Amino acid sequence: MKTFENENYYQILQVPANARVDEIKHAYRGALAIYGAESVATYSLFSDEQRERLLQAIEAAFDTLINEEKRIAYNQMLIDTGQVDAALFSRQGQRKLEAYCDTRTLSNEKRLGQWVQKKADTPEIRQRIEAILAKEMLSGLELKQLREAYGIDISEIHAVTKISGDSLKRIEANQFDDLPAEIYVKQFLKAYAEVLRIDAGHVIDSYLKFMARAMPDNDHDRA
Amino acid sequence: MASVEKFGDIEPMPKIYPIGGGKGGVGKSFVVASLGALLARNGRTVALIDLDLGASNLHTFLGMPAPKDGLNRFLNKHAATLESTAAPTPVTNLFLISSSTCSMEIANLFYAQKIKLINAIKKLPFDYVLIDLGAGTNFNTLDFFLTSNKGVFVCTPEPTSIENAFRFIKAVYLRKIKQLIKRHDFDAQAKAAVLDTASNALTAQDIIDIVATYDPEKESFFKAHIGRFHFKLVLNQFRKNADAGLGNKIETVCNRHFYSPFEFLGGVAFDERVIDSIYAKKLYVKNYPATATTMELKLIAELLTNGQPASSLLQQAL
Repeated sequence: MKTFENENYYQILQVPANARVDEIKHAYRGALAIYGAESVATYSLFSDEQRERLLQAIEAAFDTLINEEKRIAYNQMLIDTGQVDAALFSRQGQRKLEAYCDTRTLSNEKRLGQWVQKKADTPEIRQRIEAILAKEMLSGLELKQLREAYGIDISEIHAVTKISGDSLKRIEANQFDDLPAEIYVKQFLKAYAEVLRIDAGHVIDSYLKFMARAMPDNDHDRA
Repeated sequence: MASVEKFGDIEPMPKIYPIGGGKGGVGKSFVVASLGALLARNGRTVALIDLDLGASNLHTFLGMPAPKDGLNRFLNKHAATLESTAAPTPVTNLFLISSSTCSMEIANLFYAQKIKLINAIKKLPFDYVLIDLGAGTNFNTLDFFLTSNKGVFVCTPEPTSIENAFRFIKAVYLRKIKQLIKRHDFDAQAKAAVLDTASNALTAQDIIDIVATYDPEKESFFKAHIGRFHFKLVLNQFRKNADAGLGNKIETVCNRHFYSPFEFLGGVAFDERVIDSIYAKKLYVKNYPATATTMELKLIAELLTNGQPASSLLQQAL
C-alpha cells in the first residue's frame, strides 16, 4: 500500500497549492473523518502504526498550511527544491475571481485560437513564420516577430496563459538576467508556443540555445 | 437456447464482472441476480454464473427452481461447451449457469478444472457475464475474481463487512502479484524471496519492495500491470443511519493507497421486502420496480453498461 511518504503537504490534504484557508480547514476535517481511529471507511485497512504515521502527516500538513508564515516558508522550500512550479502559488487569492471569469477565459482562448488558425492559413504569413522557425536558434526578437506576424498583442497572450506581461516582454527583449530559473522559462515558452500553435519543443530548444550562446560568461560564474 | 447459439460462430468477448466481497451474507447473490435482470432488460444477453461453489443458491434470488443441470455437465465433460449448460430464467435474455447440482465436493475444484472453467468463461457468447463468488479468500475464489479486470466488491456499511472486504482486496492483490512474478521473467532473487512459502505473511507492499530492491527495472512494469485493474464497490443494505459519504470515503482511500483505480458505484438501500421476495421465491427488482433499492440498482447497472455515471448522477455532481 502506498503511504504519504513522497507527498507534499498540499497533496496530503488533497488541496491545490493556492487553496484558501477555509478550503484547507475543510480538507483537514475530511482527512480526519477518513483516517481517524473511529473511521469505518478505513476500518482494519491500516495497522495502528501506519494509521498513527498517516495522522501525524495530516497534522503536520494542517499545522503548516494554516499558519501564514509557516506556509510561505514551506512554499519557498517547495519552489527552491523544484517540487512545485512557482506559478501555482502566484495565483493565490485569484482563484475566487477566476471561477467567475472561467467562461470568459475559455472564450478568449477559443477566439484567439481561431484567429491564430486563420492567420496560419494565410500563405504569406505562413511563409514568414516558417522562415523564422527554420533557424536553429531563436532570439527573443524573432519570437516577437512571430507574434507580430500573427498580429497578436502581449496582453492577449497574458490573458490566455496567465504569464505576466513583464515576463513575456523580458523573454522577447532577451533580458536573460531578469528571467526566472530555466524551468520556468521553459514553461513560459511552452505556453507561448501553444498560443501560437507552433512546435513547443522546437521553440524551447532553439531559444535556450540562443540564450546559452548569448550569456557564456554568466555560465562560467555559475559554475 | 437458439438465441444463445446464434452467437456461437463469431465468439464475441463478453464483459465479465466477478462479484465478490469476502464476507458472507452481504448480499452478493442478491446484487448479482438484480443487476443481471436489469442488464438483460436493456436488451443485452446476460449469463450469471453461480461460482459460490458448494453454497450455490442464485436460482432462489431469480425466483426459479434449481436448474436440473449446470456447471457439473461441463466439468464432467458431458457438455462440450459451457454455454450449453446455461439454463433460461424467468427473465428474457438472462441465463443461469448453476453449480447447485455439482457434487458435494465441488468446493475443492481441481486446478485443471479451474483453468478449463476460467478459459471457457472468457469465451462465453453473451454480452455480459456476472460471476457470483463465495465468501472468504480461498484460491478458487481469488482466481475466479481475477478472470476479469473489472471486479466488483459488495459489502455492507458495517465494520465487520468492510474489514473482510479490505482483506479480500489485499488477498486479490497478493494473488495477482504472485501470478505476475511466476509468469514473468523476474530476477531470481526476487522470485525466490516472493515465492518462499515459509514467509507467507508477505503483503503486496512487501513484494513491491522486494521487487524494487532486486529487480528495480520491473517495478514500473509491475505497477502498470496492477494498475490495469478497475475495482468497483457497491455498498449493499444501506440504512438511513449509516454515513452517507462512506462509499466515497472508501473510494478515496483505496485510490490513494492501492495501485489500481477504484470506483464507488453506489449504495443500495436496505429493504425488508428483499427478504420477503426470497421467501416468496420472486425476483425482487421485478416485484418491486419502483422502490429506492431498485432505483439504486438501476443506476449501478447503468454505470456498468455505460462506463460512466448516468446523466442524472452527473447533474448531482455538478
